[in-house]
Amino acid sequence: MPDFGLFRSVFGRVTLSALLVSLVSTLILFAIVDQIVRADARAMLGREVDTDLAGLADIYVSGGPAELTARIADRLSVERIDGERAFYLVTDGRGRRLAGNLTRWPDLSADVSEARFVTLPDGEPVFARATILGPDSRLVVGRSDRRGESLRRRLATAFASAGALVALVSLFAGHLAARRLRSRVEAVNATFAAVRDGRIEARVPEHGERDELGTLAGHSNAALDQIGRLIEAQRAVSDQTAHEIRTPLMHLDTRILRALECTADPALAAMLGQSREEIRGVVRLLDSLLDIAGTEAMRGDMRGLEEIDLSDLADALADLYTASAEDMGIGFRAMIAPGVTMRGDPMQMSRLMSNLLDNAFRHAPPGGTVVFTIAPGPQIMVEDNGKGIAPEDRERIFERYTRINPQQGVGHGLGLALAKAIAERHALHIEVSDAAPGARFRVLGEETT
Amino acid sequence: MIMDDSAQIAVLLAEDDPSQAANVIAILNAASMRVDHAADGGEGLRRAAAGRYDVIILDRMLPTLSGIDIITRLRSAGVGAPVLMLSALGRAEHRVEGLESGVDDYLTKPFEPVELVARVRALWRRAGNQQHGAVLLHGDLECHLKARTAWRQGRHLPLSPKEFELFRYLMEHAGEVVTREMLLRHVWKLSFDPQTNVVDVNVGRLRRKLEEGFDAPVLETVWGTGYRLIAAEPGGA
Repeated sequence: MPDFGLFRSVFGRVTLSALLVSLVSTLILFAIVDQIVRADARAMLGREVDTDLAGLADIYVSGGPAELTARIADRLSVERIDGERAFYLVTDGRGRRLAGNLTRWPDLSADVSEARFVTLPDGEPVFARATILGPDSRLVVGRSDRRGESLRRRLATAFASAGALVALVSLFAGHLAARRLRSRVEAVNATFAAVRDGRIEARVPEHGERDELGTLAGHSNAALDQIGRLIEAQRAVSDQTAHEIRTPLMHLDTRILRALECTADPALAAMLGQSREEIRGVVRLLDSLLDIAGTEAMRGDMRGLEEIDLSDLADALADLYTASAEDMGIGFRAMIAPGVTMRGDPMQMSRLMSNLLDNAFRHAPPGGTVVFTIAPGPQIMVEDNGKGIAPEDRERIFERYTRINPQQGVGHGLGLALAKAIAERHALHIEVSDAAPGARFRVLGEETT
Repeated sequence: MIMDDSAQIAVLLAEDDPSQAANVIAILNAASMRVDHAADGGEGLRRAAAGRYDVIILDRMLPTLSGIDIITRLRSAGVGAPVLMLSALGRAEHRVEGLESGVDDYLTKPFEPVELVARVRALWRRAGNQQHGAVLLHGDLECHLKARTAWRQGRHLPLSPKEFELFRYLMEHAGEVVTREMLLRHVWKLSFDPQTNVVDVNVGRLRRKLEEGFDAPVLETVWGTGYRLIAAEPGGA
C-alpha cells in the first residue's frame, strides 16, 4: 500500500481542511460576539458618563468651580458596589489641574466634546468624555470598564475552549471518516495492483454500499471482468487459428508422407520432401505471428514472470552458438557478467537473445565477428561487423516482415519483431545503432536507458 | 530387438479427429504397439483412469474435456502413467503450460511418425524404471555417466561438457530417431527452434569427434527429421 503522507493523501487533506474550517469559523464567530459585547459596553458607559457629565455641568453653572471641586471629591470618596471606578479632571483654561483624580489631561479634545476609550498612564482602559464648562474651565469624566473586560475575557476563554473542542472533534471525526473511505479506495487500488502483478482474478470486495465508492468498485470489477474476457478471447482466437490451420496441414503432411513411401523416384521424393519442409515453414510462420501477437497482448501483464538468472540463460545460448560460429568461420565472443537477474519469462528471454544472435550470425561476413554481452541493468548487447543497418531502416527493422536484404533469403522477417515484442513485454527497451562497422543491438532495462 | 521391446506397449489414444486418430493408430501399430482409442475427453478420462496403459496420448483440444483437464484430474487421482500430449498448439507458451500441468512430453502437430514412436518408447522405458546403469553401451560406444566420459573401441573421446550431454542423450535413445526439437529441449533446455542451424552444427561437431579416426559412421542424419545413433560392432566394421 503506498503511503502518500498527510499532505498528498486526499483523505489527509480533507481532514486538515475540516480542521481549518472549524478553527476559522470559531474565530469569526468570536470576533462577531466580541464586537457586539464591545458596542454594548460602550453604549452603556457612554450613557453613564454623559449623565454624570451633565450633572457636573449643572453644578458648575449653578455653584461655580468651588462647588464643582467639592462635588467631585464627594463622588470620588464613594465606594461603588460594582467595583467600577470613576475618573475626573478639572483644569483651567491653560491646562492646569484644579480638581479630580487624574494627573494628566488624556488624549481627548474638549473643543468637540470627544468621547472614547483612552488608556490611563497606569494602563487601565477608561471610557471618557471631555468638555468645555466655561472660558477657563474644562472637565473630563471617565468610567472604568472592569465588568466589560471581565466579560470579554470570559468570552475569549469560552471561545478558545469551544474552538479547541470543535477542532479536536472535527479532527477525530474527519480521521475516522477518512480512514473508512481510505480503506475502501485502497481496496480498489490494491486490486488493480494485484492484477498488474499477474493475479488477473483479483476483484474489489463489494459490500453492497450504494454510494460513489460502491459504484467505483462495481465499475472497476466490470472493467476487470472485461479485461479477463478479452485476454481469454484473444487466446481462444489465436489457439483456434493455430488449431484450424495446423490440422489440415497435418492431413496434408500425412498424405505427402504416404506418397513418399510409395515412390522410389528420387526426384519425386526430393520434391515431396521439399513440400514437407514448406509445410513446416508455414507452421513456423503461423507460430511466430501468434507469438508476436500473444506477446504484444501480454505487455504489462506480469503473469508468469519470475526472478530469472539472465546470465545462466545467456551462457547456455553462448554454448550453443560457439560451435556454429567456429563452423561458419565467424569469431564469437561472449562477455557475460555473472549473476545478472531480472523478472521475466526464461523461455521468452532465451528466445529474444537467440533471435538477436541468429540475426547477427546471418549478417556477419565470412571471417567476421559477433560479440554477445550481458551486463547488469539488465543490458543485452549483440554486435556484428557486417554491413550494418542504414539510419533510415533502424526503426523499420523491428516491424513484421521487414527484411533489409530480401535476396539474403532465410526467414520471414519476424525474428526482430518478436524480439521487440518480448523486450516490451518485459518493460525493456530495444534499439539498434551503428557498431562501425556493423549493427549493434541493445536491450536495456528502464533504469539504464 | 526393438520390436520385441515394444510388443507389450499398451497405448491409450484420446483424439477426436478420426483421420488423425487413424493415422496415429497406424503409426503405432506399425511399431507393434497396441492402441485403444477414445474419441472424446470424457471417455478418454474414464478409460485412462480405469485401464492399465503403459503410455497415454492425449490430444490437447478434445470435446467435452480438454487434454489439460484430463491430465490434471488423472494426476490428482493418483494415475501416474506417462502422458504424451499431442497438440496443434505448438507455441513455446503452450508447451510450457502443458508440461507444467503434469504431462511428461509434448509433441506438436504436424509431427514425424518416427518421432512419435521414439517418444512413446522413451516414456514407456522411463516409466518401466528401466534405469540406465552407470555405463551406457551401444555398439562400440560407451558412455560413463558418473565419470562423464565417452569411449569408442576403448579409446577416450575428448568431449566438452555440452558435447557429453548431447552424446549421453543420443546414447539413452540409441537406435531411435532423435529430433532437433528433442535435443533442444533436453540438452539445451530450450523449447523453441532457433532460426539458424545451431543444432546441426553442434551435432556435426560431435559426429566428427565420434567418427574421426574410425572406419564406420555411428551418427546418422535422418533427412528432414533428426539423428540416430547406429551400432557399429565392437572391433570395427
